[in-house]
Amino acid sequence: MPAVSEIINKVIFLEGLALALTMVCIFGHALWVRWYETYYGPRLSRARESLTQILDADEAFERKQTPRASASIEALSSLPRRLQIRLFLSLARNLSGHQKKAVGDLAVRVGLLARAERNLQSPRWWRRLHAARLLTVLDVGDRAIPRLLTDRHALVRAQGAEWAGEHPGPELIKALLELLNDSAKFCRFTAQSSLLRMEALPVPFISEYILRASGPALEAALEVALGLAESRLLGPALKLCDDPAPTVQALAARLLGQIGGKDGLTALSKLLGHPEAMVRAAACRALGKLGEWPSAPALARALRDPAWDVRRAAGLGLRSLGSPGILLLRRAVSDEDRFARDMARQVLEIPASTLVRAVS
Amino acid sequence: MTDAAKFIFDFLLLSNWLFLAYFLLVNSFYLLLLLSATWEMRQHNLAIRGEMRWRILGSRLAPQISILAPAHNEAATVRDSVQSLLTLYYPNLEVVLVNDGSTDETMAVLAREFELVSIHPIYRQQVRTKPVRGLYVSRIYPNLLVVNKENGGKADALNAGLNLATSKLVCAIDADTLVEPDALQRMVRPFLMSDEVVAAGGTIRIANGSGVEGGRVVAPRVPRRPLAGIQVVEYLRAFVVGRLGWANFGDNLVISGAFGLFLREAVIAIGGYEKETVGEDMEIVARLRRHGYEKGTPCRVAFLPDPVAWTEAPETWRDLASQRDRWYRGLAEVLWRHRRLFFNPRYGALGMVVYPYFLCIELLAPIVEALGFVALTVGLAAQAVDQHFAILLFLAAYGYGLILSVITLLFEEVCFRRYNRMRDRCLLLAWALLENLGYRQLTVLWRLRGLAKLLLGGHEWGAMERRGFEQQRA
Repeated sequence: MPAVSEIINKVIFLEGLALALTMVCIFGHALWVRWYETYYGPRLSRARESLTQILDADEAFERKQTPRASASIEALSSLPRRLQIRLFLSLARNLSGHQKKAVGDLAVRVGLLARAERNLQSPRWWRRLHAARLLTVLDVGDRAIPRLLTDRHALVRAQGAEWAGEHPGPELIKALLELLNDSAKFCRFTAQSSLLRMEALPVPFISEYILRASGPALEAALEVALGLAESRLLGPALKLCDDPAPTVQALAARLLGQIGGKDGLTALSKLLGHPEAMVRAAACRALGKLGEWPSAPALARALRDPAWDVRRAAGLGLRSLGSPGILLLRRAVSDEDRFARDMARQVLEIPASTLVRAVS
Repeated sequence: MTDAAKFIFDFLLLSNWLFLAYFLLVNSFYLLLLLSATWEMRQHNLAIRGEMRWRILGSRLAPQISILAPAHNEAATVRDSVQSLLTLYYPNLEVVLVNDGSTDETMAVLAREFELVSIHPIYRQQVRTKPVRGLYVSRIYPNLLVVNKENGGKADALNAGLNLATSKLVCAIDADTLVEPDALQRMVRPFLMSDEVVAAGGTIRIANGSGVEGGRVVAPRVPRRPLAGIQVVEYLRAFVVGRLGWANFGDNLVISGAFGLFLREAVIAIGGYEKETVGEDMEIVARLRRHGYEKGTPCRVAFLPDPVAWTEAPETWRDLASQRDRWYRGLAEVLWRHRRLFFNPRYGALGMVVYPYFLCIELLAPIVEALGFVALTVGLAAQAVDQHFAILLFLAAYGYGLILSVITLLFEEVCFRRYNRMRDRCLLLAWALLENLGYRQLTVLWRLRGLAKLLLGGHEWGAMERRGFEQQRA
C-alpha cells in the first residue's frame, strides 16, 4: 500500500520535526537563560550594590548630582527594564522614610516612573496592574493611582485599594468604603485591610457608612469595625442589633462585645432571646468577653438553649466571668436539662491553663 | 473466504481503525488541554508578578489555616515533618496532627519533642470518627494540636482533624509530604479572590533523588533510577495537562490527597471524607462539586501551578503496581458512585464534559489500550491489517503521546525551571522517551488488575515501602 506508507513517512517526518523542534526549544531556552544570568548577573549585583551604598550613606538624596548617585544611575541604566523593576521591587519593599524616597528618586531618574505612569493608561489590565504595583512599592503615584479604584479590572482596583491603605485621607477612605460593595471578593478584602491599616482615622466614616449600607457591604464594614473596636462605633452597633439580617445582628453583637458599656450589655441581653441561634451564640460570646458578672444569670439560662453553639458560648462565657460564673456552672451540673448539665460539666473540666484556648 | 471469516476480518479491520481514531482523539484532547494550560499559566503569571503576598496576608482579616496531617506509625519521621509544617511561611497557621492509632513510638516522640500537655476543648463531633483518646497542645508551639485516636484509616483521621480544627480553611496533606515554605501563601489566593471557591489544589512533585534538608527540598534533581524518573515525567504531565488545563475551564475534579486546601464548612456540610473508598481525595472533590450543583451553593475547585509539595514516589515495581492499581480502583469507585453526573445537564460542565472525560479517557484508556493491542496482534496474524497500519497505530498512540510529554517538559523549562542542570534536562528527556517502552504497557496491566480486584470486591490500600528523605541529604 504505497498510499499508507506515504502517510506513515509524512507522520514520522512531522512527529520527528515536532520532537526535534521542542528539544531545540528546551535546550535553547536553557542556554539563553544561562547566558542571560551570566551576562546580567554581575550587572545586577553591581546595581544592587551601588543602590545599597546610596541607601546606607547617611546623606540626603536631594543632592542628586553626587558621584555616587551618577554611578548608581549608570549601573541601573545598563540593566534591561524588567531587571530594573525586579531590583526596585525587591529593595523598596523593605524600606521606609528617606531611604524609600531615595529609591523613588532614582526610579524617576532612570525613567521607570514615567513609564509606569504611562502604563497606568494602558488598555491591557496587566500593564496597569504591574505599573500600580511598582508605584505602590515605591510609595508614589498620588495623582495617578486614586482613579484606579474604579478600574474595570478587579485586580487593578484591589491594587489601588492597597495603595490607598498607605495614604489615609477622607476621599480615599470614602472610595475604600465604596469598594466594600465591589462584586469582586478580593477588592472587598483589600479595601477592608487598607481601612484597618489606617487605624482610628476611618472610624467616623465607618460609623456613618454602616448606618446606610446593607447586605454584604454592611457585613464587610462591620468586620472592619470589629477590627477597629472603637467606642465611637457604639451607637451604630446598638442600632444594628435591630437589623432584619441575623448575620448583621450577630456581627453587631460581636462589636458590642468588643466595645462594652451599659447600653451594650442591655442590648446583648435582649439578643439572647433572638430566634436565630447564630445571634444568640454571638451575644453569649460577647457577654462572656465583657466579663460583667450581672450577665451571669442570663448566660446560665442560655445553658439550656436548644443549639449547641449557644450552650457552648454560654458555658465558656460563664467560666470567663470567674467566681459568679463558676458558681452558676456548678449549680447547672445538677440542672434538670441534660444538655445544660453536660455543657456545665464539660466547661468545668477545662483546666484553667488551657481556658484561653478553649474560649478563643 | 466464508461469511464468518469475512465478518471477523471486517470486524478486526474496523476495530483497528476505531482504536486508531480513539488514540488520535485522546491525544488531541490532551493537546487541547496543554494549550489551555499554557493560557492559564500566562494569566496566572501576569496576575501574580510583583504581588506583595506578605502585605495581603499580614491583614488581620487573612483566613487562618489548619493543616491536617494524619500519621500512622511515623515515629521515625514525625518530628521532622511537624517541625517543617510549623515553620511554613503563613502568619495564621494551626497544625493538627492526627495520630491514627499508631502502634509504634509516634505518640511518645511527639510528647517528648513538643512537650505536649493534655487539653479538654469543647468540640462537636460534626463528622463521625473512631473514638478520640486524647487531645494535646504543645507547650513550645501553641499552634500545634495533637489528636490521639483509634486507628480508622486516612479518611477517618482527616475527619477527626476536621472536627477539631478551628480555622476557616483546612489543608489536607500526607504525613510524608514536604510542603514548600510559601506554598500556603500561594494556595490561599483563590479563596481571597472568590466566594465560589470551596477547594484548591497545588502541584505535587517527586522528591526522589533531590536534596532534602530539614524537611525542605533544597536541591531538586531528576532521579537517576528509571522508575522514579519516569514518574517525574508522568506527574508533570498530569499536573500541567490534567489539572492546569482543566483549571482554565474552571472544572477540576481531582485534588491530590497529598496537598489540598478546603473550606472547612463546605467539607463538613457534605459529611467529611468518605471512608469506604480508596480514592477519598477524588471522591471528596466530586461530592463537593455535586453538592454545590444540587444545593446551589459554591462549588468551584481551583488549581494553582505554583504552590508545590514534594512527595516520595514508589521505587519498586511491587509498590508502584500496588499504587496504580489502588488509584485506578479509586477512580472507578468514584465514577460509579457519582454515575448520576454522566451527561446530566443539571451539573453543567461537570456532568457534560468533565465526568464523560474521566469516564471515556481516564477510566477506559487502559481497557481500550489493552484491547487495541490484542486486536492489532490478532489483526496482524489474520492479515486483516498489515505492518504499515501497525506502525501508524504506534505513531498515533505512542509517537503523539511522546510529543505531548516533551512539550510538557518545555512547559516545565519555560514556566517553572525547577531542574537547572543540563544533566537533569537530558535525564527528563530520556525518561520521557523510555516511558513508552514497557512502562506505559505495565501501567495498563496494573490498572486492569485494579479493575479486576474492584469487581471481585477488593478494598485494600497496600503498603508502600518508603526509603525516606533522610537518605537524600543535599
